[in-house]
Amino acid sequence: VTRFLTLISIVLADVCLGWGFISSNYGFALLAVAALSGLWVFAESRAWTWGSDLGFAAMIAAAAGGIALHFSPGWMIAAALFALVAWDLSHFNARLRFVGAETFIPILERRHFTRLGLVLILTIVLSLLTMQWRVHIRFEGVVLLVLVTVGGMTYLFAWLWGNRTNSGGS
Amino acid sequence: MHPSDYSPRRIFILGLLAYLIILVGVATRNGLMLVLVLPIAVYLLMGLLAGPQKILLEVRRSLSGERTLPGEPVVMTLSVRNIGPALEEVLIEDPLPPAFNVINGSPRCLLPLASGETHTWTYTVAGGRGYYPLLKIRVVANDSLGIVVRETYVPTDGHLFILPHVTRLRRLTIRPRMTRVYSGLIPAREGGSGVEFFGIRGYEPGDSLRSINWRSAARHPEELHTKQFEQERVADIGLMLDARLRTNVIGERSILDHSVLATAALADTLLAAGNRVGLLVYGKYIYWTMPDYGKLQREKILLALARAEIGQSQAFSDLIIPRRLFPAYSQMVLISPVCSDDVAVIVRLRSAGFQVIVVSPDPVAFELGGLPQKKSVRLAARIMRLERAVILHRLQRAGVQVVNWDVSQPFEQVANATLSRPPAWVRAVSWEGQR
Repeated sequence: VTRFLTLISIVLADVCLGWGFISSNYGFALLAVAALSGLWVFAESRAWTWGSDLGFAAMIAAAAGGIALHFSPGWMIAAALFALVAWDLSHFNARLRFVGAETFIPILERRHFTRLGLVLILTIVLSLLTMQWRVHIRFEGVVLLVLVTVGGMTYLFAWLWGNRTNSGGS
Repeated sequence: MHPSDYSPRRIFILGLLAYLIILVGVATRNGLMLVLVLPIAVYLLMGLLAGPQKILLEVRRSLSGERTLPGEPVVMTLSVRNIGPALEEVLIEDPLPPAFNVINGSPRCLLPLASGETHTWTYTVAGGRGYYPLLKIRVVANDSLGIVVRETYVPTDGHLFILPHVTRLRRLTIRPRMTRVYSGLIPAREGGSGVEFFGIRGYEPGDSLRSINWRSAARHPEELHTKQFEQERVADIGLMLDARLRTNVIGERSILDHSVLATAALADTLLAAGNRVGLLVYGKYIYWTMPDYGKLQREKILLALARAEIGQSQAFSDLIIPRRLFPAYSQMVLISPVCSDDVAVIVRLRSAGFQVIVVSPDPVAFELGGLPQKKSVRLAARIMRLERAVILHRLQRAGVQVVNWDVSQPFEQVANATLSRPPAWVRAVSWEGQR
C-alpha cells in the first residue's frame, strides 16, 4: 500500500505542478516536470532514498518558482504538499524493509497514514487561513517574521551541525 | 530533548528547503512564498511533538547452543519487553559480527511496542570459527513520521563459541626424552612392562619365568637373562599456535584457520592418548592454556582455539617457555607457517632440551591457490619454495621434526603419513640401535 501511495503522490504532485504551469501558459516546462517525476519514480523503483530527497527538493523548488512567477498558488501548494507526502512515504517504505513479521505492516501503516492525514488537514487549513491573512498583514511585519524565522533556522542548523560533528556523522 | 535525538538527515533536508523558500520569499517580496513553508513546518512540528521520550526495554536472548561448529545453524531467540512508555515505531537490531550469515529470519525487527508489551522472534545464523560475545542490541525508536529518532544499545547476555572442526588422527608416535610417571602410549626409553621389546638384563629372583629369554639361556647355560619391554607412559606436550600477522596473512587471505585445524586435531589425539597437553596461542597476546589431562582440557583448548585471532607480534624472540609448565625434555609442537626469523628461536627451544615438532602449513601452496597460473607466478613460487626449503632444512639439521603441510591436502592424511611413526633418523638412532 505504501509503495502504491508513494507513486500516486508523485503523480499527483506532478499533475498539480503541470496543471499550474499549463494554466499560466508555461506548457513547455511540462516536459521538465514530467522528466523530474519520471526520474523520481525510477529512483523509487530502485529503492534509492536519495532519489526521493532530490525529487522532493526539485518539486519544492519548482513550486516555489511557480509562486515567484505568480502561477496559481493553490496548485503550487498542492504540488508541494503531495511532494512532501511522497517523500515521507518513500522514507517510510525504506524503513518498512526491516519489519520482521508481516503482521506489523498494517499497524505501522495505519498509524503512519493517520499522522500524515493530520499533517495534510492541518496544512490545508493553515494555508487557507494564511492566504486570507496575507491581505491584512503589512510587508514590514512579514519581514520581521521572516527575520525571526531565519534566526531560528540558522540556530537550528548550527545546532544540528554541531551535533553531527560531535557524533561523527550519522 | 538531547540534540542527538533528532534525525539529522531528514531535518536537514526539511530545514534547508524551508530556509531557502523564506529567503526567496524575502528576495521576491512575495508573501505567498511563506505559505509554501507551511507543509514543512506542520510536518516538522507533528514529528517533534510525537517523538519518543525515552527508551526503556528489557531484552532477553537465548541460543539453541552456545558452542557449535563452523557452518552449523544456531537459532537465536530475542525477547523484547517494553517497560517504559509506548513506542510508535521501534527498530530492534541485533548487531551481528561480520562473520555471521543469516540463514533464516532477520536479526532486525521494526514494530510498534506498547507499554508493557513483549515481542519475541527468532532467526538462524551460521558463522566461521571464533568467539562471539553477543552483549548488546541496537534499538532505534522514532515517531511515526521518522522525525525524532532516539538510538540506544540495550545490554543482553549471550555468547557463542564456534569451535574449529576436530579431525581424528591415528595414533601419533612422538618420543620425548622425558615422560611422566603415569602409564600411557608414549615409549618412555625405560625397560619394564610394555609391549615393544626393549632389551635383556640378568635374571633376578622374582622375575616371571615367562620373561626369561630362553634363546640367551641356550647360548649361555651358566646364567639366565630376562627380557625387558619398553615402558609406555604419558608425556608433557606443549602445542604452540603461531597467530602472528606477519606469518599468517598472505595477500588478503589468512592461513590461520588451517593452523587452528591442525592444532585442534593434534590436541584431540594427544589428549585422547592420555597425555598432559597445554596450548600457547602466540598472536596479539600470549595466551596460555595450562597443561592438563582429559576431556575438560580438550574443551579448554578448543575454546582457546575458537578465540585465536591474528595479532601484530613480530617474532618469537621474547618467547619463554615456563619450566614449571613444561619441564626440560618435554615435547613441543609448533604449528606455524614459519618465517626465516623464527629458525633461531626454534633452534633455541631445541637446545634448551625440548623435543620439537614443527607442523607448518605451506604458505606458498596456500598463496598459489589464489593466484593465476602465469609464468611469472610460477617462477616466484619456485623461488619462495626454495627459500622455504632452506628454512625447513635448517630446522631439520637442528634436530627438529618438520611436517610440511600442503594445505590443499587434508591434514589427517599428512599427519598420518608423517607423525604416525617416528622418522627414520629417530628409529635409526634410538630405536633400532637398542634392539
